[in-house]
Amino acid sequence: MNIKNIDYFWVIFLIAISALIIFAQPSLLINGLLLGFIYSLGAIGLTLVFGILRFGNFAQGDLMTLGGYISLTIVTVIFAGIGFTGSAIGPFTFGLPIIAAIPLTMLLTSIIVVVLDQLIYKRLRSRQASTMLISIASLGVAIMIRGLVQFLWGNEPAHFPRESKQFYMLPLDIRIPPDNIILGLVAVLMTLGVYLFLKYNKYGKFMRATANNPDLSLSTGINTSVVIIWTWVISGSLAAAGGTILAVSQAQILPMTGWKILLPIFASVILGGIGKPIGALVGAIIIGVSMEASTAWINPTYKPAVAFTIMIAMLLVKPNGLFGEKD
Amino acid sequence: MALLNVNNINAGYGETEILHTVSIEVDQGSLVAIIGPNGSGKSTLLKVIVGLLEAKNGKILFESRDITNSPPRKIVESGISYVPQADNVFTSMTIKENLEIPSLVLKFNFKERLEEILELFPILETKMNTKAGTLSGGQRQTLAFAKALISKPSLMILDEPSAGLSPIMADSTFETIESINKTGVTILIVEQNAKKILSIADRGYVLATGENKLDDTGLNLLTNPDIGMLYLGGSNS
Repeated sequence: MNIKNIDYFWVIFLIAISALIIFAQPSLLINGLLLGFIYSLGAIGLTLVFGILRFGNFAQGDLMTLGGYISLTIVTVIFAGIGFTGSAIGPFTFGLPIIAAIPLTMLLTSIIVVVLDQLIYKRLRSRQASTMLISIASLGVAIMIRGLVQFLWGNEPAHFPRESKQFYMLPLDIRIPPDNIILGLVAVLMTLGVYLFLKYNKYGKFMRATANNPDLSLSTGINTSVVIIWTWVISGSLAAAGGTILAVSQAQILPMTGWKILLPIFASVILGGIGKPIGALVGAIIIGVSMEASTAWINPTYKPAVAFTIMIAMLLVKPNGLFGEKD
Repeated sequence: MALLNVNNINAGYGETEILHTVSIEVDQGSLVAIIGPNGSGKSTLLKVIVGLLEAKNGKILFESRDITNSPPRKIVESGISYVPQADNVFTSMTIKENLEIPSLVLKFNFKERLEEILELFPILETKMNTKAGTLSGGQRQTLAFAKALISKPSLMILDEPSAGLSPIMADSTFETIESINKTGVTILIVEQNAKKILSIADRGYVLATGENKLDDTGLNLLTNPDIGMLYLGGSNS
């Protein structure tokens, strides 16, 4: 079987899964798409960091949790404190404060990851630490972030202020929470933003060059330290937005929320081809839809196993991923 | 004062010293070749000059300014372009993007320079939007040269440009190098194919086991029987 055939295999696989759900439970497809878009926000950051810094960042999930909690604090403490509460808009369960909190959270989380890089990862890099060691350090950072979250916000589920709203009822018994449409849209716009940044912005081009060939980037005169900062800013802000959207769509947030989706995020990255942002998006959608679709037949508890299975199948069939280049 | 002055450089990887007090001089407008057997430290010397490897000792002056151990970015800004031996283009980017990167680093007008560079390398024009990774070895070499020249460097440093090319492609590469040099760009080149490069070089340095062994005009080195016996043996074919 040549490589093209395998690519078609995955496309057909996705279409088949989608078709099956449409006949079984169409709303699962919509839920799966939203889940996929949320995963993609984590996965794009993960794949960019891998592309530039060559390590798997195990803290990506907990960074999403942190982002969710920062948004929560901005909405319930800061905005509420200054009287910016605002009731839910139209068909959605949430109001303007949550939308307004997202860019602030993105900014704060970016600053946090850049500081973490300067304090921890940069020092390891300058000592020529192996990527395995840096990955393990990121696992430490993940546990540290989770500990901080538990210390600051406690272990109980926390909730964004919300109002109950009717689902959209479409033919064929499709029920869509209106939130999913706007949250999905925000995720898609951000992904598109990253795509345009990488394609047309000066630093986006520098990022692609550095991911492709770090030594040549250096000798061509690219300031790779600035490229690394950009990478963290994008990765951190997407994680923050993803964490907030995840918390709002699940109507609650827990210290384990992000850690639980770390595996699907890694699976998305591997499926799409490590270091490929477009691959991370497509991989995330496939993983998200497959996981949701599986609940039509099997207990939702096994959802992560579905992501795992797809990831292992991909590693066996085409280790470089859907969009990966041959070495 | 020469354009580039490399004085008594010591350098290496980790504890291992590869270059032992190596010195070279490159005059404005000249074509200078560094030859020598494998493992003599030729490529290492180039890496030290362009700032990819630290010099433990010694001084490098470019246009009389000290550039020893400057970050590669500063060295590019000072007017030095470096073409590494392998992996010298961004394979996942298009030809146009490859050529654009230097203009983004050095902030010059890309469109204007692109037109000029495409006149020199017309073969690239039809492939502007293809990924560099799909190019043949010779085409990649052309792109790497174009990418290095687009910033109008005063010194171009080439690391074994003929490596991995067919004899015909290698010949045309040497012709290209000679014609680039004739436009006024100073060239410092490391080459395995010593006979070919010495026949066009103004000056040649022979390096062996990380030390200066000889330096003379290209022609004198070419006709020096000792050199042939000692250092050019493997590369005469």
